[in-house]
Amino acid sequence: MRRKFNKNTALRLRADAVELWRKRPEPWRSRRRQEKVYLRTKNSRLRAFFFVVFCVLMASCYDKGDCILTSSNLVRMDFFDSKATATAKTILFDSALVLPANYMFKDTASVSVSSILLPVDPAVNQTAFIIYYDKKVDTLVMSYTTQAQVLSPDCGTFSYQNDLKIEYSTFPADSAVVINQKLRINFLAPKDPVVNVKIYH
Amino acid sequence: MLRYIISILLVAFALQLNAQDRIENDSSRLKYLPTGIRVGTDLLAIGKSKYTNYFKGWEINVDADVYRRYYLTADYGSWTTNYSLNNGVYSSDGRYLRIGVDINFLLKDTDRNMFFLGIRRGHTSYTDYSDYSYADPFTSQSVDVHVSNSSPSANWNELTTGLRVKLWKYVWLGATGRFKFGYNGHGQSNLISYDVPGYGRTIKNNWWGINYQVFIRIPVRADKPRSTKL
Repeated sequence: MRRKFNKNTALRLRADAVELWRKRPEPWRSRRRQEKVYLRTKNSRLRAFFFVVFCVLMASCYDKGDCILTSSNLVRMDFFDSKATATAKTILFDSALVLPANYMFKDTASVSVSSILLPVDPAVNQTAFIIYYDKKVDTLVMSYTTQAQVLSPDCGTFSYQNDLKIEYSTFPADSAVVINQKLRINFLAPKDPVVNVKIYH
Repeated sequence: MLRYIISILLVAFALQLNAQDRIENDSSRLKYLPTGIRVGTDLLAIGKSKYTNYFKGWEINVDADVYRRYYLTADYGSWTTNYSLNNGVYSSDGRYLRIGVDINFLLKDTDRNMFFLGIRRGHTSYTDYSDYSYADPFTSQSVDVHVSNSSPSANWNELTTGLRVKLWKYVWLGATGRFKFGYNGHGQSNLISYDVPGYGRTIKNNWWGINYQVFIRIPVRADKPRSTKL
């Protein structure tokens, strides 16, 4: 049987169409306005965490460096008894000639010491020490490398001597031993450099 | 005749099936194609170059979403530093490259805002030198020294975190925090480098860094609208 379209059918169809139009899915752009904005947060702990991280980042960025100077150009040689190797031995130190600088270290009179400090020449990679002590003379030729380092702009650049080695020695065989290859000072005790060479006499 | 028509129809259907396989392969390849590429620059580097007398540099940042929440990133930049020291000057100049991956934790955001964690691997080649003076230990006179590294290089690692926020249409603003670690320098026999391009000062083993960036997003392909359902 053929369906008849009368006025009621038209009205019903129109009502259905209006209802469908009202329930139509919204475009995704307008849906976006109703969403939560994920980056805004009312979580006070999260905000505090981000603030602390930000402060740490900013504080770290401005660290220029510490001015802790440990550079030294002094070789410290300690004398020990060759038979009792742990016992320090006193020598009568007269003078020392440093080459190639051709500089003589000499006091007014000989002094009794168990440790001597002699400077290396930072401009070259090898320095010879001719040591006059106990009415005799011995020669020690030492080589090293020089490396510059910037501590901080306020401090400046300093030279560090490393890889200290004995190239030639007139001391008895194996009596001069390098125990620390770096020429440094203890920044907690600047007048007390680290021991570099032990001489068993 | 009907038999021939049926055979022809069957062959035609078979050809259609091959086309479907091709379409599936194309769509699987497309999912690794970025929806857009972001190109940006570091505003902090531009600001430091303009308002400080010890730094000149720039940085270009590129990232692209290769699969869902994963982004491939690359940073390329140039640093030139000139420090006035208490007893001289120090200068370094070079280019650096950082490549890495970011993971986006705001995948549902329809504006493509990002909160990410990532990793980077950095490399730089540069030159540096220092002119300084010291007192001769024998004569106490001032001695001037020039020391330089001919071809130093360095590598390091970074852990990164940050935000990318959409400002307007194709413009994004971002902030990236970097934790730099694992620094390894080469070719510094004469002078220990003080400021390494891309890494920063070498006085510490680990460093924090921060960048503020502005990006332009270049769309590559259309992506379906993101669902807001969680």
